[in-house]
Amino acid sequence: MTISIKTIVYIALSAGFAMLVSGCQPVQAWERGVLAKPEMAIDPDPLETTLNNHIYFSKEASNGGHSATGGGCGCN
Amino acid sequence: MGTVPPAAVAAVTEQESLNTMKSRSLLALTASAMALPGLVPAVKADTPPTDTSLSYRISSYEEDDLPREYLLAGSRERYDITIHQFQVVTPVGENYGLTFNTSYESMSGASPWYAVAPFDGEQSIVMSGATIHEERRDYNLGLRRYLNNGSVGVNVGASDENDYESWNGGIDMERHFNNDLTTLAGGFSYSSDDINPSDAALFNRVTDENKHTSSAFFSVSQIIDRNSLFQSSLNVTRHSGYLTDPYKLGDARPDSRTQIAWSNAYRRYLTNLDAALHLDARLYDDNFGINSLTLDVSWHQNVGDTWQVIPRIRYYSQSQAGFFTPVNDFSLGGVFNSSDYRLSAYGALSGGLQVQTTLDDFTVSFALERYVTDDSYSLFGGETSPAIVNFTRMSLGLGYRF
Amino acid sequence: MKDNFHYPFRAMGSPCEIILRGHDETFCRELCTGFESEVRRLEKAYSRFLPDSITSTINQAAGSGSPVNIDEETLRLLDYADTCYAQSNGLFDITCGSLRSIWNYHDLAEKQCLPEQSDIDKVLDLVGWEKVERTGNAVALPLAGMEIDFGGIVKEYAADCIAALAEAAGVSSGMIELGGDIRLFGVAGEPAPWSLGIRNPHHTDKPLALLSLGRGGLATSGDYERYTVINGQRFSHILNPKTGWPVSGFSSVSVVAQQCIVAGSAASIAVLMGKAGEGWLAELGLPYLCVNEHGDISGTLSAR
Repeated sequence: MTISIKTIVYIALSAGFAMLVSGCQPVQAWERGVLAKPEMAIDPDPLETTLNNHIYFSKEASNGGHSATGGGCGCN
Repeated sequence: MGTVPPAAVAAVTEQESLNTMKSRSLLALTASAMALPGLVPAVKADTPPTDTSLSYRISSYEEDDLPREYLLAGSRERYDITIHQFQVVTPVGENYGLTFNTSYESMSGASPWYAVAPFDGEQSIVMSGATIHEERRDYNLGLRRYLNNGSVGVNVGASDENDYESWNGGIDMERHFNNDLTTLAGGFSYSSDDINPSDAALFNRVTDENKHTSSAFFSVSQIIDRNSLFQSSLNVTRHSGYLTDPYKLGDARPDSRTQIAWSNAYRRYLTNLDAALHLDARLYDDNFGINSLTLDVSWHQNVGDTWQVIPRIRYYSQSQAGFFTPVNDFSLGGVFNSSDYRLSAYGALSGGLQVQTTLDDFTVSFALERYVTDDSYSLFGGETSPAIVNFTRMSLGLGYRF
Repeated sequence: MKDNFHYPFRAMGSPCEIILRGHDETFCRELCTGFESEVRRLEKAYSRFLPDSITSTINQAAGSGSPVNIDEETLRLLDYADTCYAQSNGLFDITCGSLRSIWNYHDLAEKQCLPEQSDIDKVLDLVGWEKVERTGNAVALPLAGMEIDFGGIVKEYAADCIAALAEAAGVSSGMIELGGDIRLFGVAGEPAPWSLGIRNPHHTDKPLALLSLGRGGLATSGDYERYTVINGQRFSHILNPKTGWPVSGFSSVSVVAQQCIVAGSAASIAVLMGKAGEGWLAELGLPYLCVNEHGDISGTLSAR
């Protein structure tokens, strides 16, 4: 039986939500060292993100994400 | 003398030492201790940069040739682009940070011009002829002011290519709440673009058109526990003016487009593996009739103290625009139509790997990505264009702080 | 796996040590140098033996009528002292230093006699946290001869400060010991436990108990090193600020808490309470170990 991409995507989304719903715990102020690590940033590599956004913007119909879209280009 | 027990090892479990804080006395002592300034580490929620950093990246982007069976006329070779990016981030005084970004792209290659119904076999795409050569430059300057509980930023930018010029500016701000556990951010940007297609007279293209774009976003970030955080953002964009692609024959699009994107990001550090998991999901909708889903998973694995290996998978799927047809419909007259593959229904899967290392004040990185589209990857029904593209991208980056 | 990095030094009148796990030597050395300066900063700020310290400045202004302006850190430390005073029914009192003049153990041991009650009563007039005047960011000691002393708090506070700095720097796992007060720290999710020993007050070379702890603070209070024998009776150097007399009951109390400062205050308060201290500790809910004057051991950390 082949599993379609659709099924995989739906499973991934549900697993994602389940992880979040597993609850927030109070984080003591002295426990935040890990959150400051560069690999925990929302955007650890801005040049890579800008490049990817630019490429996907010119090859796909979608636009937008975590910030207001920047300048334009003739590529779309 | 008293009894001395044998030196037994008493394991104090995390639970015991964390205690359930049932005692009011203990709660009072702990709360008072937590208010002591030394016990609150400086978590860089958002602080001005302490060093100046320079970053450079060179990337090579190559699209796969159009499969022979779809080509009706023109060049099969699609875009090859070399991109140079350069960034400087530097502190200004005690409370400001300045960021300057510039990029230079040089591209050559052909792109789909129009599509006709195949009369024999599958050849339907007519590509543009001789390969073009174009350059694009862009610049952006941003200034950020850091305050006690957040920051405010402004930025201005411009871009320039043979046939396209853009001016843009934006402002954004963020504020921390709840002992820095929650951050709200929002911003607005505006861009005004002038379009002057090449070879306008030769191909009877429009000249001197304009388009402008306004975009606003709002986001909430929340620290969930000591190892994870979450961010949700909403981004609304409106384009108006000339939105048609002047290089595609018979392409006619509405003069306004409203887009909305809802993005969610989850970051989790796995301490036993010394790695961070990144999950990103975005839902998109616009009034051209296009919906899309984007899922991005990456694994940031630390290797030793100076290396990081980051494999990544991205899944993307979009539905088609209401006025998309795989074959141009030249009979429609003034009604909207486009055979642009970027408005068709398809899915894309891409896999990438990035490796980076730090040596004193230098960072070196290398990245590779392979992006493949197929209509069988699509979540949505609809029509696909045979001209959907696959590409390979390689990047080499260098960074320096001082 | 990298070896443990050891960084011994001397501060606050005691031998100190920092141990870091999981990082290379250069990184550890750089961090520890910074940590040592932080300990010294606190020593310089709060030692009653240094004439320029914040403590000395406040004590020198006692009875002058002019309040001394203090910084945020001092303010919060005074708040903490106030919480300890409230939670101990007034037994934990940072103004009890004035009683030292009455209880000069060297003299008393030589003469083999106890101080006169009338003398004690006179000095008791200078003792009492409730007498300290605090307004906004200023503090004033209304009577000349009054003094405050952060000695019972600052060492444990320093250990917690270093722990916070270390975790902000991303240290995987580590330990700081400042003269017997210990704090474990680190960002590793499941740190390999540390084996800590609680010193036996009656047989100082044989540990009373060995604890296996991953994170948190361990502090010990007691008079096992500070007592004098007069007329065949043992007198602790730890004084009850209400009666002016030494406490009796436990020769050593050790407590485990998330913060070293909380562990230290809990242990001190238990010792000050004398026999009633054990009941108080049991209700507090923190793991503890008590050794009484006869050497009997009790508490949740004993006999596991």
